[in-house]
Amino acid sequence: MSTLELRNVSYSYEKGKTVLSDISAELENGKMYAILGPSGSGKTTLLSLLGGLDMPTSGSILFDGANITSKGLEHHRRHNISLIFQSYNLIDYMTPVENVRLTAKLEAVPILERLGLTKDETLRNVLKLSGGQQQRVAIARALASDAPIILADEPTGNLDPDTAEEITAVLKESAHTFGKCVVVVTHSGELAKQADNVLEIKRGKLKVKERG
Amino acid sequence: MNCIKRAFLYVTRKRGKSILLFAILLIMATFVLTGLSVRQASELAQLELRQSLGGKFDIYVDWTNSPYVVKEILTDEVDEETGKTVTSFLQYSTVQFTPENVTAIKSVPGVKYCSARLSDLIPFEELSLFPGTVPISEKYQHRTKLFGVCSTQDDQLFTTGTLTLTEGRHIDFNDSGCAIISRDLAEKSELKIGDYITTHVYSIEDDGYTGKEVRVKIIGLFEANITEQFGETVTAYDKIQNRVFVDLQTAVEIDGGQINYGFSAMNITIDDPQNMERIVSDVKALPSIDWKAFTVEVDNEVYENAAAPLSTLNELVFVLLVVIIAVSAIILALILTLWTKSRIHEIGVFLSVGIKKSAIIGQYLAEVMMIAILAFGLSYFSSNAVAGQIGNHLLEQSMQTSKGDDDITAAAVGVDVGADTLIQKPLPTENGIQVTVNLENLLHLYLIGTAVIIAAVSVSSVTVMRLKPREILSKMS
Repeated sequence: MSTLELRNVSYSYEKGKTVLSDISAELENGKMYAILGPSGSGKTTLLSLLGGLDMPTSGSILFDGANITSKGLEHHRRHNISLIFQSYNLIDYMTPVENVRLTAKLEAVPILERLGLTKDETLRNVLKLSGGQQQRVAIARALASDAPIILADEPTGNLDPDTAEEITAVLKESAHTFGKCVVVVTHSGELAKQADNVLEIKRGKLKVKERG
Repeated sequence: MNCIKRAFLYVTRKRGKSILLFAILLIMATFVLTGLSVRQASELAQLELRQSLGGKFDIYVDWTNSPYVVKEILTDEVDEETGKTVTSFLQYSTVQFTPENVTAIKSVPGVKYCSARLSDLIPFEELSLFPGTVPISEKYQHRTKLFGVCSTQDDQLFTTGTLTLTEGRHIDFNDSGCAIISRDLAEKSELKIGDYITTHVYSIEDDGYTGKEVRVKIIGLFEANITEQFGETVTAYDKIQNRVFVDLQTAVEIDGGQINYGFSAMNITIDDPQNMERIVSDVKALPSIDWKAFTVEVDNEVYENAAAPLSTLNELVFVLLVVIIAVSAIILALILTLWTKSRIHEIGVFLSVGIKKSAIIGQYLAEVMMIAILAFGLSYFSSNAVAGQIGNHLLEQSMQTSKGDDDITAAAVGVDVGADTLIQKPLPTENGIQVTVNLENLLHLYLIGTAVIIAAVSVSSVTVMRLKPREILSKMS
């Protein structure tokens, strides 16, 4: 049951430096993937390509067997993808509920409450929440969009170990309970250990490590 | 969440920016609305001025070039002192304006009045004239100025309000043997409406009014609305109280009927001086008038002098409006560009969640429009407060800079016919222009403002919207 497929994808910067070279992989629903690699190896680039924020220099990315460019990248971003960033990227003049409602297909408040925010916290300005709470709002926004794929770029990078553990659990739950395909770019070994599969990028090549 | 809802949240939550933008838009709107209302007031004042002054042109016998001009030598006398021969002659045109010509000219669209007179100095037996302040020869002491007209209603003395008919009726085209005199003269001469006054037909042999008796019936009394100035020099026959109006037929009869049968000059007043060229052209095209005999002299100077400051004001306000709108658009575009760049994070988030660029621009437009609707509405009051003062200040400036800026009022009053000074109504601009902001101005402001805002938002969005989502996200990080 393949959801997202990389087919011979290469990516080079305009100056000619090749970051990704002829990589192929299949990412399935209900699993959490961790993308590992040294700084500058192309992890975030790979995430951007999966999220339709950029186009590969060659090769193609398929969603449910169809090229993601066929209906336009905006359509792919709006309907198939949810992005979670290290810096949360919430809209600072909105409350958590309003942030979630930006693209929500599901009810915002139950999801926020399920992720541990109180009713009062859901109505505050997002900047008045802690880092962990803000990241929960970002995850709630991703879940509420009901997109089948969640792409997370260093989601625990700014969090203390306890909060990072909680967020990792939420992401894992999103994959295993809600059937999402969760792809996480991380430097965190702890987070990588929780992933079902690890995709390691080295010198532009992708190595897939499956766990039992 | 749609772009309107997002815009509403932004405007209500980012109050500092909203208030700043509101202040900027309010100032811009006040300037634009003031400009629009001053321009409208100026145009209205020009229209009033045109209607108030009207335009005038004269048609008269072309004494130099007309083939119908006759010059008859009456006497050749040798001056005893100088020894030179002095020749007396009579000059007249065999082609004159008839009442039919007057009717034809009056029927030309835009012609308001057609004033024509056959004038002479005539003695009336029953009239006890008011004395003048200038001594005159015995021959003229009992004479007064008589105007033979087709219609007193069209005569300039009445159309300008210099004289007002206070009793009886006007002389009209079909009248014969009728006269209108002043109430003062009637009282002094113990006459009333229905009474007759008597004169005689002119006799060439006697060089006087010694011919057949002519009696005319008084059908109306007028009062003069101008008062003689203390020390003013005026002959008895020129005094306005001594004036006698009779119908053309009677005037021709008194004149002897051998030379004059109509008018040798006509003064035409038109509704709108702007149509002068067209009306003169239409009059010249009338087939019933032999244009070899007449020439036309257009006098639009009074209107042009009076309208010059308003015209200058109009041009000034137009230039100001263009400058204000252009500067507003530039300032707004610069401010919005700065603000858009500071919102790059937000744009990145919106793009990452699949919101289209057009929807993001739509949100920005909606934000500015929400504030603008309020600011434009409030500018109605601020503009009303300043528009009048600014308008009249600009009008004063225009009066100082416009051509022929001599006393416009004096120029307007200086219109005269013969010895009569005519009353001139005050010009609409003498006490400044009335500037008020109305709903039409407000509607124009909303249209102009919306166009300026769309242009400014489009320009301000270009730099960011050209970027790819990933470039924006990398800028964010």
